Amino acid sequence: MSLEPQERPEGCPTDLRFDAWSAGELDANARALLEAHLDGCARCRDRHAALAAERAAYLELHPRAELRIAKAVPARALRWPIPAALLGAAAAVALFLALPAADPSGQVRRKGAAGIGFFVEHGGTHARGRTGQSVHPGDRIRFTYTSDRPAYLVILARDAAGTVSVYFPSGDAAGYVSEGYDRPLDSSVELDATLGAESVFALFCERGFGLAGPRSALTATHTLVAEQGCQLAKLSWTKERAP
Amino acid sequence: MTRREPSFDALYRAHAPSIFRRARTLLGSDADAQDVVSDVFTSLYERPDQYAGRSALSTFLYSMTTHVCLNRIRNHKRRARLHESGRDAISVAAPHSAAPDRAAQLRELLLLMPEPLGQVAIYYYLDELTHAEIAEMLGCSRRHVGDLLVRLSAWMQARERCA
Repeated sequence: MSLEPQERPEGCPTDLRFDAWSAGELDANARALLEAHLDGCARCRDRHAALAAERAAYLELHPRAELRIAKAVPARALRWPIPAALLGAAAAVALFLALPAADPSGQVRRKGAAGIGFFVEHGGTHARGRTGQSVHPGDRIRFTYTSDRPAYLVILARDAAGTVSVYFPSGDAAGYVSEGYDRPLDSSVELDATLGAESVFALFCERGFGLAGPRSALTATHTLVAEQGCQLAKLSWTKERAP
Repeated sequence: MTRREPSFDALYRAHAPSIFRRARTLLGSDADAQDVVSDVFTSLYERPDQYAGRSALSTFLYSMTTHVCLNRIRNHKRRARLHESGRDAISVAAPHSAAPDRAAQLRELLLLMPEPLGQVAIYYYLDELTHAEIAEMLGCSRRHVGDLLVRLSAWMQARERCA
């Protein structure tokens, strides 16, 4: 078996070039050259349109990164070096990432491999949260979960004022999640102004269920109990006034 | 989340579709390609400093995706050897590229090809990059790229003679 030689006409851009263009990485001169080429090349116009359609379809199906965060590294803010040619470009990627905290994964798990963790966005940086830590009004929380099997999941919290909130899902019934390790949920929540200790409960169950029961139980008894076919994971934080 | 500086999400939206497309072409499977996207972005999230800024980010990610896919292909190959099941262990689903026949042919060859030649075969035959562009991908000279392509050609001719 042998491979046919290259078929791309001389002067036509590669897919890599199109990708750099759509990512905003080409300087003004390179962009102008590419656009001029497209004006006169039906083959490349078609290819560009096909790539754009694929791009849109993919992001429709996968709007956010699905990370596999399996190990912890020290928390520190990092800025990526930016090539001089890219400075000022629309998609210059100055990333300000706070990496997961040193405490292993921050996961709170029960025997049977179901658990939750969370990331905190505060002041434009992200850090892995740990149970018992301080958070602040306005912080955004993104939960992660670990489950060795598909499950119906609900995450509720009871704050210092006794108010029960549902953090996941947004509907009236438990959300279905596939098995996964430390997998981020699609949504995040913004913390309100109620200060003090807040307990968070994650209920993983084999069967679907409505939220009214767990919400009532948590309001009345200040805790939740896992029934047969369910697992419960807990964590907590203390909401303090922002410094 | 609304932030003024470009975020990890912005990075993902700018580059994930092309990573997926590339991985799907190389592996021939949507599920495997999605795993590669997760692998690449998890790696970027955990070690953002691995991108040193010596090339455009899309170039760096093309190279990284190629590495991840080749590792998967080789792992499949090792597993296939262990199970003595030949090429059945790697997906041969229809590719989704501009040159599907070439992608399918290349996947079969990558199972057999010596490791140093795999990358250059992908860049030359599948991506149709120039010697200069391949040199940038590999971080080597154009002359070395030429040498690798000569070796690749010799390897393929030897295979044809044996067939």
